[in-house]
Amino acid sequence: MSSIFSSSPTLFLADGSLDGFLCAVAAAVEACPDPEAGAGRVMVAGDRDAAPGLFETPLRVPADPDRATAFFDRLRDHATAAVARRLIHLWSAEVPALAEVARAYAALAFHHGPRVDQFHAHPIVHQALLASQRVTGEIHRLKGLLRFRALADGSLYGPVAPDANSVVCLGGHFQARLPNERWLIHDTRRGLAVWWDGRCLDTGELAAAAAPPVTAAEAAIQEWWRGYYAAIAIPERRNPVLQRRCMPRRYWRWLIESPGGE
Amino acid sequence: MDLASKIAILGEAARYDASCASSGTRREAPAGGMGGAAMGGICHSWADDGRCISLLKILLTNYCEYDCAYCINRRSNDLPRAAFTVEEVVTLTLEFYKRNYIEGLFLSSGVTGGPDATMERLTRVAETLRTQHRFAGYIHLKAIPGASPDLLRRAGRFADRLSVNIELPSGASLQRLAPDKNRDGILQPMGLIGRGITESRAERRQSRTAPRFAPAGQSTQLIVGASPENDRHILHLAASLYSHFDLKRVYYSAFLPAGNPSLLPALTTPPLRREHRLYQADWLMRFYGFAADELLDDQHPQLDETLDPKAAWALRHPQFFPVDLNRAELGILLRVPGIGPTSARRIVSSRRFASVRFEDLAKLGVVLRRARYFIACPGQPAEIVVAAQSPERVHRLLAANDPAGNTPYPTSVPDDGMMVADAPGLPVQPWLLPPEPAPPLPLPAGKIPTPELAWGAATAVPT
Ligand code: SF4
Repeated sequence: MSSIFSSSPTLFLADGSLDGFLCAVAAAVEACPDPEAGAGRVMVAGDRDAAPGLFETPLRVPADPDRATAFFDRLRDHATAAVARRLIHLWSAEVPALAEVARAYAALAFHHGPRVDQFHAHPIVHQALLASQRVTGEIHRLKGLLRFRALADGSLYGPVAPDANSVVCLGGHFQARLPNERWLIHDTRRGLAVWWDGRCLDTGELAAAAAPPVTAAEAAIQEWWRGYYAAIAIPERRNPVLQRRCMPRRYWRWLIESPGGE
Repeated sequence: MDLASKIAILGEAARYDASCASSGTRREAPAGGMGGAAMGGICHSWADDGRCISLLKILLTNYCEYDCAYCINRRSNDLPRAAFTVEEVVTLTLEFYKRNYIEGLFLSSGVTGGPDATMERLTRVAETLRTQHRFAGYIHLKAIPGASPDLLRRAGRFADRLSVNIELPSGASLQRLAPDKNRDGILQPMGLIGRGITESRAERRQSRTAPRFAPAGQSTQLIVGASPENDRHILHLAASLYSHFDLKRVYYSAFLPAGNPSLLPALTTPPLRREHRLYQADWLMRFYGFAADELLDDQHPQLDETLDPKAAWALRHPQFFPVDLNRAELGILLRVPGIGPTSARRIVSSRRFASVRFEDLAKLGVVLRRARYFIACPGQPAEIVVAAQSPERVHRLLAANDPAGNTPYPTSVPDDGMMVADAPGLPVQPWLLPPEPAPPLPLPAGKIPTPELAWGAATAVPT
């Protein structure tokens, strides 16, 4: 930690994992608890558009699950669970600049405690709330837009390509809804999956592969849904602008229905 | 007839019902069952008309003995007819639900064999889903006017929501356009459902195991533009329905030229902008503390289609403005155009830290385009203050910037939830913001009078 005592600011480098992210934020906040002072900044290593500044001393912070958990709990006890969870959202957004927002937000939260979120006009709080809302908003959206396909063995396969690395957050929702089915949700963009085998929920890596074949029975049910989808729109009220605002095109890829008749 | 053809016919027949909300209940799958319901509701898709698809909204049959002039399913209309069996609807619901296409079922029906036989079939679908299949998804059933109280009580045990559509905003129009229905046949079930909901809520406060009765409440729908009632009449009716029957929602549905042309106005396009303004006014009554009387009066019986109703109210009440953002209480902030419940609450909490400045407002979610002429706070540019002294000019500026004023089809059917940052024209998407309780409603002057139920055979139709 020699760099902290030197005059040059430290660049706390996190690896891409959630634990690594939390550890880097923890290291930065512990080194300099004053939210405004900015004696160091946090960056996720491997981000192409972020590079150490000329006078920064890079410090690689190893991912340590125990340290990450301890930091999360400490923040939760100091502020609220919602505040602590926001750091996870900032990580899952995968936006380079948000690593530094996470550091400043965590420092502010230690400073102001549970009231931190009331300070909406503060630029850091504002950015943190906005980014975390975007992530939770997408999770909520995917709870609706995810489509399962029944495979030949009766299990359900649900491919998605979310903006944020949030597919794990869908597991609990579907576990509660479909406890007697076996299903797998596949983040085809990141090659990650969360699945339920009827007894336990698990996550892991799963390479993107071609979509599994659709049985004849499944094709018939998909056809019913497509027919229903086409019938339910009122032609006199056609409104593609509103439709795309509510359901952006990037989410259409894994739908069964064909919005806009495409 | 194969199932695919039935789906096409009976889906199309159901699409004129505006409601598709799946909110208001929380439920978890029972052992061996499937499904659940989320408090805020979940949209699963958006149709080509921009409306959210949350439920499988379908008719059990579009055969109908009645002849309501505004309805495509009326017996005198020549169109393909179909009927599902109970098992077919059950299968469709379960298969769609399992694939996450839908949040549940919204089942309605044309009347065949009388109201009781029809209601019994609807109830049987819900009962089969709940008891045989342990289905815990959302179920909305239409209550058929004239159905017996016993059947409605049974329906309420299985459904999350029940609704009776009033459709026509006055008794006189009902008589003229829906001769087979009558006032009592509609109001009695609404009253019964309302009582059932209140009683079950009270019982469940005593005991968690007391049976639920339509826990997500009841709603109704009014057709706009098929009959001559003005907006003032419609808003008064809505206000009285909210207070008399404890309704969750009143839906407004722009009349489409699908009805009997000899009895109905010949419209080339549906009055979508009018429908949209009514939704905004409805929101103002439910979440912003406005009374129907404040929004419209004898001199202004119709909502201004070029302006959202809150801005129109503000321009008619210059003595109320500017509102000092660092002093005004919540109920007053809510009266400012461009400030919604969320931004009002943020202003109140933010000014505890430091006084709120003009440049902070966008971050707090205030829609400055509209709010700027009605507020006072440090940092405010002087030219805005000058502009605010000229109401005609502000009216023009606001109308030019109104999102709904500039698009041919501004409308959306808001799902249950809060209006986002007071933005008119936006569908309400609960996921954009965490759910928040409705704010307390301190009114600046007077109080909301309990309106008489402004709907009945004796009501004169305004011309
Ligand atoms: S009762 Fe009237 S509104 Fe209902 S389906 Fe029949 S004709 Fe249509």
